[in-house]
Amino acid sequence: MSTDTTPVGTDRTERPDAERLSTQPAAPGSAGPRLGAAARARRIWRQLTSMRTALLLLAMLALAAVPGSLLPQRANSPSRVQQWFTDHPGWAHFFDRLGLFDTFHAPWFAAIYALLFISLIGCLVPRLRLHARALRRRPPAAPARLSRLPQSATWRTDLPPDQVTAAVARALRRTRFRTYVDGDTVSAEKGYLRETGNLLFHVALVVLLLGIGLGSLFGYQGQVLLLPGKGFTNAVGNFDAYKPGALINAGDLSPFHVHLDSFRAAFRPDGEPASFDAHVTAGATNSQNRRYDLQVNHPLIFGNAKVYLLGHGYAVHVVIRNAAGHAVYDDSVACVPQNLTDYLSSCVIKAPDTGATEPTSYTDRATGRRYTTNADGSPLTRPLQFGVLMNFVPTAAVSPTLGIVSTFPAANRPRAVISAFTGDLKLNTGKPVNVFDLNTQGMTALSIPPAKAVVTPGDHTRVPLAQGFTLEVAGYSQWASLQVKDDPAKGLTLIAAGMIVLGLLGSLRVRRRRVWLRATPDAEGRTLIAVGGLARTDADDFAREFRTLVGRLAQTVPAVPTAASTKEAAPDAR
Amino acid sequence: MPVDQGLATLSDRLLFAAVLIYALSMLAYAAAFAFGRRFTAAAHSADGADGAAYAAAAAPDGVTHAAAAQGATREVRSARVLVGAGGPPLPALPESGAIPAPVGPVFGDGSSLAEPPASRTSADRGRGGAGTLGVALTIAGWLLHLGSVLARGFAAHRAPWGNMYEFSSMIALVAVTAFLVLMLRYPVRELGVFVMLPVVAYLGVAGTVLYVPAGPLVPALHSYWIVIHVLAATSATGIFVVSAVANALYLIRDRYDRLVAAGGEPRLTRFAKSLPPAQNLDTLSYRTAAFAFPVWTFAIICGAIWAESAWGRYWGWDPKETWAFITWVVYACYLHARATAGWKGRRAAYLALIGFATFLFDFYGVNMWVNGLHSYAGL
Ligand code: HEM
Repeated sequence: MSTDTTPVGTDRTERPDAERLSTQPAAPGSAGPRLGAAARARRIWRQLTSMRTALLLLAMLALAAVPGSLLPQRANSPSRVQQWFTDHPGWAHFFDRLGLFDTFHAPWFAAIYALLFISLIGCLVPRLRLHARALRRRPPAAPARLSRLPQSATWRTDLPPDQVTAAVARALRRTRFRTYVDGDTVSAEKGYLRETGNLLFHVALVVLLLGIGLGSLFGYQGQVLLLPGKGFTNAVGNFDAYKPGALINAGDLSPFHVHLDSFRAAFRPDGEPASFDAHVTAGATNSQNRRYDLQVNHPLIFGNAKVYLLGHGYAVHVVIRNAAGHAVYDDSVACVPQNLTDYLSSCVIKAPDTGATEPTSYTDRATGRRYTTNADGSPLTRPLQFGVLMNFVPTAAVSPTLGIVSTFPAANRPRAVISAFTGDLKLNTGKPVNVFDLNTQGMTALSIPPAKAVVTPGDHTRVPLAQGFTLEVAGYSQWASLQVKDDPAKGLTLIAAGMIVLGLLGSLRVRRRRVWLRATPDAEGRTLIAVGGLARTDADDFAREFRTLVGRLAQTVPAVPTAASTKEAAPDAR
Repeated sequence: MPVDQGLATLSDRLLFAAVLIYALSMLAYAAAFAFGRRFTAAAHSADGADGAAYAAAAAPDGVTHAAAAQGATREVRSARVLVGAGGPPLPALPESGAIPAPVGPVFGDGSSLAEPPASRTSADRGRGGAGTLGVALTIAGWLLHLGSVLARGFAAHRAPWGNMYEFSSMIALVAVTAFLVLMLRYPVRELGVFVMLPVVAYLGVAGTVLYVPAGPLVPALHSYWIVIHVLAATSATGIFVVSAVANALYLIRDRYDRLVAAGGEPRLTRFAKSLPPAQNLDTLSYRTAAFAFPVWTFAIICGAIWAESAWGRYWGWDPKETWAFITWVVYACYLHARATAGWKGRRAAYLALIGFATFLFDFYGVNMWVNGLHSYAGL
């Protein structure tokens, strides 16, 4: 007996889809030869939202990410990109033209994932609709011959058919099968969570992208370097580097203040870092100031903004005095570590205002004549400016080949190696100047006797410069660089990530399976029970589950021995 | 806290012993594989066939959706052919009326609740001899291996997965664990030699090339997220190892079958006739990959959370992150391919193997050849 539970007259084209367990859209069909524009558009749309396209786009996405991992990226390591331009200018320009140094911001990369997500949304919408309908639909009617199914079993019982179906339906419902009784058959299905999970997963991918996008539009990120004793207020102008999202206003930055009291780095004997502690005083307002030990992995949190300890290095305290012994320069300067294994660091000191002058000359471009005096005969002069390049060596040792090297990242035997220049520091050219860089072109190197060029910070040695000026390295300290990051959509992204895992578990671990039972009276007045079942995936596990289920059902509707059973042995219940 | 040198040495010795025992178990499996009974096929009903049957059965009689039904019968038939060709004779079906019906339910294969079918597991269990020795040795090696990992953790006072040597040991431990668990549920003992071979090789490399003495971690790794992240990542990788082994064997067996079907005489792949049927290998590979994929996804998410707390951004396209992403996408490709009719079989298998290769690159290649934030994870 055919018991089609599908209402007659449903949309014919949707029927096959509804019969499938997966709501995966059908492969793009080959439509007729003559296509109107609308039909063609629809076909392209179907193609785009097909599984094969998704597969292709996914493969392209994976492939497209490869160069971004093998070539240095501007966003992560601009200096190594620069290195490429120096080492292989030809290739570098070629790669740059292709956007390979900014792979993950390149238009072609964006095009791939944009297409992927259009495809995803295009295939999700109908799937969601179909699944919603499938959830409300009854389990499908029993096939004609249950013994044809991968799993089947038969037995006989004394209970009349209607009691059998009622009892079995109850038992199946108790094991969370969706069950439907129709006359002498029971249809049951379980595992809708598979498709639910699958849809949750794919929806979560869209939400994840949304979260990432919102975060980059409304978030910001800034970096600042703090010397001990210095503070910083969270405002756009106070960052050394600031990257705002497209839709954030300077006024939106949450207000807080961080003051670096001291920084301490501890190292293991093998030179690996053991701990970094930035002792800071921080708060949203002065009255809320508290002391914190800011560590890697333990950011400070102010509203949406988080403050991270990003890096550290050495700073030198330099005093430059004139011939009279008055300090004309007295400041601490952050040095840039050349590497993170021994922390040999380079420091740049620029002392533009010494109060003294030095003779200079002027060459007239037109005539090529060089003047060393003014029109009145007085010598041509300019302000005396000092530029100092210093290497800070945390643990100094003398290498026969390399000269002074550092053998350990901690400042166990600190030395400063000094070279100095006079001339124009070019601070007033109107061009931006890098404080960590000294352009010595056109400057005059001062000859400092080698014995005096290496000093121990804090030992009061005065290194002679010029015109009686001296330089003293009065001490050293450690700076810390902080990163402020605000991503208001981070919560959404995290929720999406959680949904992704949950959805996957449902999609990959849950099995969808169907069980049917048919109870028909036999010639002896007993009831012949036929049960059949199948699962879409994991047939092995289902075989086990089916046996257990049949065992349970046979307890609900107990089997009876029949004399005739040997002769007639359980034919198909039609 | 200083490293406990006694425990650290114990850990090293235990690992050495474990590798030795694993190698012996591999030899035992190899003997069983070479001289044991041929694998009896087809007790496994293949996913594909059942899936198709599902689709067919779903269509109520009379209104069968033509395409689904066609596909179904074709696949069901091919499954039957498989049974007829390689497997034991089909059990008598109840329709034949040849067997006296017992009191309880009679299953489609003629078995009853009291008498389960001559199950594959019991056939497998009954093989005895070298195979059983192999399993016993695997368990012994596993215990030593577990001891080595634990001792390492106690010696360094931290979770024992902080550098490449420790990751590798963990991955191998998870791979062996996965194989042991699989043996409890499925007849996979035949694969023992093929699982233990990479495990032994892997541990050999880990214990020599990648070895570093026990020690504390750099500050960036002081986070419980890394404990979870690395545990999930190594677990996923360990399971993917088993999946990749099954996949490679699937390709070999499939090649063998096609050669034989074409009347050829396989030479290189002659050993493949003792392998389980291609369908079973394919299913095993899929099942393990499908198990590992959510774990890997979870590992990536934990990594992102950790990166957020360490560096202030949850994703920065650092090479390690990029390769994790590539791996994830390739496996997503594989899972999609499996779900799409035209892409089952060899092409899907190649995708999975590419996925595994990207995994190896993510774990090792990136640390060795590519500069990035993660490189300090220790070589
Ligand atoms: C954004 C990238 C995507 C990822 C990472 C992804 C990942 C996955 C995963 C892991 C599964 C589970 C496979 C299984 O059940 O064995 C899956 C299933 C599926 N995906 Fe995607 N997917 C993506 C995009 C898409 C797109 C664009 C489409 C539509 C064209 C799509 C359609 C499907 C369908 C229909 C299934 C169910 C297959 C079935 O069980 O029958 N996916 N996807």
